[in-house]
Amino acid sequence: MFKFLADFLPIIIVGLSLGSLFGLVGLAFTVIINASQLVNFAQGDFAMFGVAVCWFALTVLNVPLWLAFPLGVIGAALFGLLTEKAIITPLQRRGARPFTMILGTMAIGIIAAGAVGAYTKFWWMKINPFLGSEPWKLKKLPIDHQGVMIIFATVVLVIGYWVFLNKTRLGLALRATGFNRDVSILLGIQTAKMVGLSFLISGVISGIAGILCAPLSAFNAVQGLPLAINGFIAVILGGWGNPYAALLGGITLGLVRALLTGYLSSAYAEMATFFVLIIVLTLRPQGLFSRFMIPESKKN
Amino acid sequence: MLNVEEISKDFGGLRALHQVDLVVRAGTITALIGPNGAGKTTLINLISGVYGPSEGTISFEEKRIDRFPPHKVAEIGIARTFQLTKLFEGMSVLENVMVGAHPWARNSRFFPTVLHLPKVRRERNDICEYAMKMLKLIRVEHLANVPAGNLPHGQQRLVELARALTTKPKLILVDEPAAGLNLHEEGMLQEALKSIVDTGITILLVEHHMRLVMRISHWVYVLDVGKMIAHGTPEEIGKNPLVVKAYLGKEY
Amino acid sequence: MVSRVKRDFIVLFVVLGMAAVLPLMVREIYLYLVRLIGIYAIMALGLNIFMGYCGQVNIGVAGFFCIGAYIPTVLQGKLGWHYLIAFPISAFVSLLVGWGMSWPLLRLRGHSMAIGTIAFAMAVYLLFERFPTITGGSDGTVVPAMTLFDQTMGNIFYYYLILVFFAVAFLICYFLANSQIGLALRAVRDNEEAAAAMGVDINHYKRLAWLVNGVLASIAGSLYAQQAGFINPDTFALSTNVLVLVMLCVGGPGTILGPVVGAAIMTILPYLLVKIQQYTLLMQGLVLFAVLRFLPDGVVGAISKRFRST
Repeated sequence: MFKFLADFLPIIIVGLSLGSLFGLVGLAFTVIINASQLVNFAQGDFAMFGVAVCWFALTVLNVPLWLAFPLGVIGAALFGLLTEKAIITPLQRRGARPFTMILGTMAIGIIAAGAVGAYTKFWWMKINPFLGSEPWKLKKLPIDHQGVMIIFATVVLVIGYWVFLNKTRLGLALRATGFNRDVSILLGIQTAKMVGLSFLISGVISGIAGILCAPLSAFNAVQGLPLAINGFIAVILGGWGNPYAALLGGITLGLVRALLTGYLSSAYAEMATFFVLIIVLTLRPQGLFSRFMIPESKKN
Repeated sequence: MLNVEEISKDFGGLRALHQVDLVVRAGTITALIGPNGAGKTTLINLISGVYGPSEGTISFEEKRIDRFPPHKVAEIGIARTFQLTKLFEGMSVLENVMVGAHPWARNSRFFPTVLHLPKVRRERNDICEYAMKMLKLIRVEHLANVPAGNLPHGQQRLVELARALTTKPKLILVDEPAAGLNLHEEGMLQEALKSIVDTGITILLVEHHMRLVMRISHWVYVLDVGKMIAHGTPEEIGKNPLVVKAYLGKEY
Repeated sequence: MVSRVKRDFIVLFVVLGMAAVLPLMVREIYLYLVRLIGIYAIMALGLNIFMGYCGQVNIGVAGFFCIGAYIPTVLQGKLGWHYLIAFPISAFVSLLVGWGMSWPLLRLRGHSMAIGTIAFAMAVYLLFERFPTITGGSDGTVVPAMTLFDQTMGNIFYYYLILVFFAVAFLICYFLANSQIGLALRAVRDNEEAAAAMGVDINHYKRLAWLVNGVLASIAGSLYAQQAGFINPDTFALSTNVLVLVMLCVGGPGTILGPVVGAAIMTILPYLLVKIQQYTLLMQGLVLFAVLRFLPDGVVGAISKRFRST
């Protein structure tokens, strides 16, 4: 029994942690989608950039972790804002097709990956687990504390996000913009700033998620797009437009991958991911949970 | 020619059409009028195959077509225009109209095209000529090389008409062509519709503008809130109290 | 419209003629670049039919590129089959795979289609990477050289082979684009509802464009593997998808010369500007950004717009 738990528990924790990463990226996606109907292909690169800044602060500037972490998050947030300013607004002003916007965000993502890669020579940006390399021991059961931190942080983030959205004036303005842009303008909400805000928030969430998970699953410069794809899968699994469902979708994905990797092999895990994606896209393109969550969540 | 029998259409919980009957006789201009929201465009969409009826049947020349997809409806000889013009903005006017040749352009298959066979080249020339002919019929041939997106509203409608004609249809469904036209453009439209029916093509005209309808239609159907409330000659309809109430009642 | 075709043919003839005599005049390094341009141009031409003309989204060309590269390699290397059989088989396999994938993928709209095609490409990549015994896995495989009458073929042979395939691909796309089929594809791009009302079977034409895209990418892959002599899965990773996309955007989607010009620019640029390998990705991103922001119709598109307004 102990043996089973000793094997099973780490898998669950890894699954939940990775799943939280995917889910948070998916949530960050949904923030932008809900505010502006835009699909941000640079989402994974937001996280990667946050990790890059944090890693740079830690290893090159020798800044302590409690400072490097926020620096990384700020870096990701600013990157998000930059994306919005540099490509979204200009393209939108020109009335570009939605797909051109997607390409635009991809371009920004590639620039980030290229810049970071040029500096790091595309090597891994290693960040050590925050509380040291020794796992905690709960009655002789090893528990990965980084994983626990990630799960804890995810819960805090989601609660914080919900509070912001539903209990603050700014959150209300953001929801309004996503729900009906024209009316929001009439009500005096500065919708352009709201879109920028959604990118900022998206950057913050991605940055936190990325940095927390970096000790677990290493980041290199080109890790952005694969992460974005996993985030997408989370959104598609969970349901388009529903941030909490995206989180659930990501966690499901993470758990499935961890279980498959642990008991079979990582090759099967990755292939299974794509099969699931194709199946979901074919049978239920709007996502699995989109009907079971409270409908008003769809408005943000 | 066209037989719509007891058609009903539900969208979720909303019944847009209830047991509607309509007959279009060949060679006529048959009008379908009614206040906004009566369900006229829904009926047109049903006939042209955009969606299928919840109940009832639609037959064209004795054959049932209610389950046909839109491109098949075009192939058997029913063309249409759209209430909000749907021109192909990335093409010139002539190219737009040439797309209309698709139902009868049998020689332009993949392999012959890729091999650039003479029959494909000949067909392309035929299509080009026929498209120009249609543009001339509507008196807009001077616009042939203009990018379709640059046209003012009224001319867009006329081009859509030419494009629908190019499919060599037996019946054209014309959806609110007069909306947003000034008096001069409305006159051109009337001329165009008359020319079309003179060539032997039947027209089902959906309209909101009573003036145009009364002037050129042979038979009129009146739809209100999803039900057919009257049909007859333009004079009869003009005097029908139900029709008057439906229109005036909505205006107050 | 007819005289324009004659003029285009003359231009094509001249260009091909110049390309044919090039090996006599320049060094191998330039020939290598031209070979690459030819290969990428074939892929970009295919992508152009699907994205530029039909208006759909495909960020997974590398999937077919990969199939086209690996299947002849495996058939020749492991089973000893002759390339004259192996090449067509790989194109046929791509056709089948493309046909199969068209059912789930082509029903999706915009971003879902983008994600679906990426997923497809990654699935193909994983498939070929995870069977090291057959495909050599991430270590890569040697591609057997082609032989003709017992003589092993060299780079010059591959140069002309690619040139021939490029000319054929170009002609196919040219005829396709300037035909009723081309009009139908553009109609699907501009307004699906209106296209259907004019007798265009939307699904049929999307599928057609998708298959042209897939088969051309597959042929490009076969040629690439042959002239490279050695392939490993990394060539077929995400970066190739992006590269071909950038080529199309830079050159001009929806034009016939666009993909070729774009392929040329994006192949030559890394060698001109950047001596260091690691800046290539950054440069691609910057070019894509600049094109999207300042030159949305691509190079060819912008030039032809300038001509039309004068």
